[in-house]
Amino acid sequence: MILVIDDSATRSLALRQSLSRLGHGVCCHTRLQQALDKVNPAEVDLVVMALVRDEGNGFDGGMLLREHGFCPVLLVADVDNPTDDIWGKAQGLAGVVSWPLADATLKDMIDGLLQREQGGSQ
Amino acid sequence: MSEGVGGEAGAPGSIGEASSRQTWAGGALQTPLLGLLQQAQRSLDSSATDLSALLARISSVLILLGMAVPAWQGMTPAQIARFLLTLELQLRDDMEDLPPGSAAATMETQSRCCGLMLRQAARHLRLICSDSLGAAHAQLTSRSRQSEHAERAGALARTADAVGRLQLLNALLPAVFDTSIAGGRTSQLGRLAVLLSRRELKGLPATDSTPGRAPVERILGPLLLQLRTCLQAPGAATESHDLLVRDCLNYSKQRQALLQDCLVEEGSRSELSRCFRKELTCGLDRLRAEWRALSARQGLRYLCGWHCAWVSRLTTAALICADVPRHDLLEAWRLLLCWQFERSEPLEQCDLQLFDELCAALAPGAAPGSCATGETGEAGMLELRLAAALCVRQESTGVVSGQVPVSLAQNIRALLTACADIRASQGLPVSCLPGRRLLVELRLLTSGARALGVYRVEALGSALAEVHLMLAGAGDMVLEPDRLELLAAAHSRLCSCLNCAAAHQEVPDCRELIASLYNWLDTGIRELASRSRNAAVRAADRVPEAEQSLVACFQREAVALVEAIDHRIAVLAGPTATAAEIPACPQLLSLLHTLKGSALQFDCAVIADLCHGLEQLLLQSSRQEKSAGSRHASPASAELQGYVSQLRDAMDNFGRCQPVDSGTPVALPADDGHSLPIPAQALTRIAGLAQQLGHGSRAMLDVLSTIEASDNSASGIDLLHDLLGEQERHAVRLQEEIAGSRTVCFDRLSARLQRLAARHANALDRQVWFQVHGGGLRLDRLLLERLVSPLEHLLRNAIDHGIEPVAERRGAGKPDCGSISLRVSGGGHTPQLQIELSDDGRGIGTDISGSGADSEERLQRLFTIGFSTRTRVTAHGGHGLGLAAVRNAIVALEGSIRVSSRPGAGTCFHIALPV
Repeated sequence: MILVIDDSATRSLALRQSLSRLGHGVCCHTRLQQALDKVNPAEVDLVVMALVRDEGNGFDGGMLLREHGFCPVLLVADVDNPTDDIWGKAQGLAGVVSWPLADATLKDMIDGLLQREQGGSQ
Repeated sequence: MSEGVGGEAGAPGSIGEASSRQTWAGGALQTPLLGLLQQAQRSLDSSATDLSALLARISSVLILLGMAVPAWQGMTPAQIARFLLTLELQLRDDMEDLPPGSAAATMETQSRCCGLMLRQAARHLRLICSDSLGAAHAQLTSRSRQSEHAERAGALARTADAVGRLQLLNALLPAVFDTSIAGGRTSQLGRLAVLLSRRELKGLPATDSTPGRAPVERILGPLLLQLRTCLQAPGAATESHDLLVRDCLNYSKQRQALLQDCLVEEGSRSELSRCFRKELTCGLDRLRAEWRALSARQGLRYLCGWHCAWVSRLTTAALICADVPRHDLLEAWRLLLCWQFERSEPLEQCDLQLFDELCAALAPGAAPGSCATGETGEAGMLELRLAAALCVRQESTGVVSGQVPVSLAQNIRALLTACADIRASQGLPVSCLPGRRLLVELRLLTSGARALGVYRVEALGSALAEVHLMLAGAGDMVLEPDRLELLAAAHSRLCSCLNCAAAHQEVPDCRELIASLYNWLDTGIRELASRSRNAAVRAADRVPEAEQSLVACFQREAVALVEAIDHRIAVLAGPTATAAEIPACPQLLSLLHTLKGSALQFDCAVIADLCHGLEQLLLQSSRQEKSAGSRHASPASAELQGYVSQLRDAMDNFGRCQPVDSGTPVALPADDGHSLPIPAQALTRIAGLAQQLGHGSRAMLDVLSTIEASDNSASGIDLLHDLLGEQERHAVRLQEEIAGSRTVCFDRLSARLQRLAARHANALDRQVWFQVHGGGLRLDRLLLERLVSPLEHLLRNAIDHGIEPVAERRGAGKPDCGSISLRVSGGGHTPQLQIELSDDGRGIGTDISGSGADSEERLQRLFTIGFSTRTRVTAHGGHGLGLAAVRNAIVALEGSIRVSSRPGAGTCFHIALPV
């Protein structure tokens, strides 16, 4: 299952549509704390979270998620800024991608991440 | 595009150089270039007059392709013809190489074209705007001595440069164009160039299987070319502009179709647009409410990160729904807001109007899509106006990047691991903490943050660095859990601040945390001093000399001061004295003032209060005396004596809880003014040298006696010669060592001043950035010691009277953080030492300085006793004593001091001292 944390309804919906098209189960939450309370980390293969949300930035949020056992965490930014990706990776996140996300791009990225995750756990 | 740009892009280009270029970047530019080449050749044949214009166009295309541009002026027609032909042939060859219709190939050429444009941009960037990145690099490299630091600074600048390139391309294009032509229309066209380049670089999703890429590209290439053409022909600008706008809108229509094809499926489109409409309505309402609140509250007309976040959220939503007209509007708006947010510029009335219009245009009921029909719609014009507003601001403020550089990511990783380590190290000695490792990272971080103007990060970082420095000397001490928690909290807060800065959100205020860190620092240093005494541990090697000797230094100074005060008061209170002599005794007042200042710095409120009381009493009685005009024996003598005995008691108490530090430097009694403390290490070295000199002398005596006893004198004299040479070397080193122990680096004082600035600013709720220039200068140790008190006083004054509270600074259009700089120069071989302390605060009012020609002299009245700009006396000042005391101290050093000030812009104190 893929956990989507985003407080924008449109972005959330678009992600849900794309991920469903790619054959993943999706669970959407608007607030990070809500997700931490309700979702079991063991059931989540990947977290996709918005970088800039009302409640805080995605870097801090990603770290919190990792502390709670959610891994890997992919951030989605509104603005294409190469620094974000490097910054995110330096903090142990899976990376930062920016809108617009075409299905093909998303597929490649998620497949790569999940493969790496499985490879790492074996 | 003229010689300036052409010459820069590639030196006097030779034909061979240009034609040897194997790669032809922008596929879209090939056809137009070919057309231009043919046209130029035709006009060359017919000797037409438009040749130079054509050549200029060709130059611009070549520049766009990142190729060398030949110096047309210096070439004969035959050479030009040959060049054009070679170029054309080369171009045709390359075009045939390109597999027609191959999506991958076009993709590649396009990305190459973008890359080239970027490289071009970077090159211009360095030339046109020597921006803050360059300055940051220079600052970092000049400070560093170790190669490691320099290397990192280089990496910092390089990465920041790479990040800046993308962002600055937009600012750059109009700058490039505007230099070539003047005229009203061109700036607007420049803005159009901004919009176009944004679309070109960012608009197209980078997937292989994108349908409809080719048509967009077909439009884009000629469009850019046309833009340049009309930029080069000022006369035609007016008509071309309208044409361009129409093409531009056509382009956005195409792009809409493209986005819809690749992003949104037919089935889900309606659902998404419904969702977007709902979000847009709700988002606009929230923004509007917040906006009204902002504009209603005076003085709070600054954006917060929240606004930018909301607008960028709406922008993305519009992009997802392929609502191109709304997206472009929102994007222009977002850029404007981000610009203002990053530079914390106040909102203006025109922004508010723009926002209202924007809301109307964006409202789900309105149809911004009408602009896509080919008409120059209102939304299109609004977008241009937004871009225009951004350009105007960018032009007025120059190019500054507030981006946190990438290499700081290393710091943040170090901080994260440190955070975990600290929490885990409960009950372990301090030496297990990752302090030493972190110190370097923190230093680097703070200097980077300072260079980029992220002052909140800088303040927290430097406070943390000080704490680690203190802990580094604490050896096997075990931290209490609450301190450990504070340390960990500070680290994670710093981490969070960095993240916010990276995500372009507002960096949270951490003043309380910084204050508690400084409190800890103060108590920590005292504890350390007492520990080092109790345990008789030779902590001297570990604790930095300056930190450790601070308290001891104060105590020594305070005891001497109290003695001097007592002495003077005894004279005053004596039978021969009158109260009228009190004001004639400025030394007493300045002594008291000095003691009060030092006591305040060490949080010794009792002593400070007593000094304050004494000052008040003396001034009061002097005033009474003046008004009465009569002589009578000092009325307050009993009271004065009472104060002094209380002062002595307070000193004793302070002494008991603050044992006199027995470590280095060796403290000689500082009463006669001729003694001077010398660090123990230097003394050891001097003693060693003296011993070697002694050995040498004995050896020479031995040799001499052997020579006298034997006949073989030649070898003995040689030996003597060697020994004498050795002796001389030792003597020279001894001299150097002694001279070196007399002088000391000014930076030893900087740390103390930095701490003072931070504490004082915190106490008065100001934001201050204090920096010392020329701290590497070596000064006489004695001179430096005597400079401490006046400099501290001036610094306190600058924070107290100069730097305004944040709200006032915002009102005056200054940055939140006030800056104070101390510049030390001269010394060494020049006869005078110059010290300049300047702030960017409110300056000294014209009521003091006047505005006429005599304002300079009137300003100098500040240094007379009893003269104050304040109407109210507080614990921090207002007596009119401080500056007089400062002048006395400087005059005692045979120096001079003067002040210059501009109301609203700041004050500067200049001190000149003989060396």
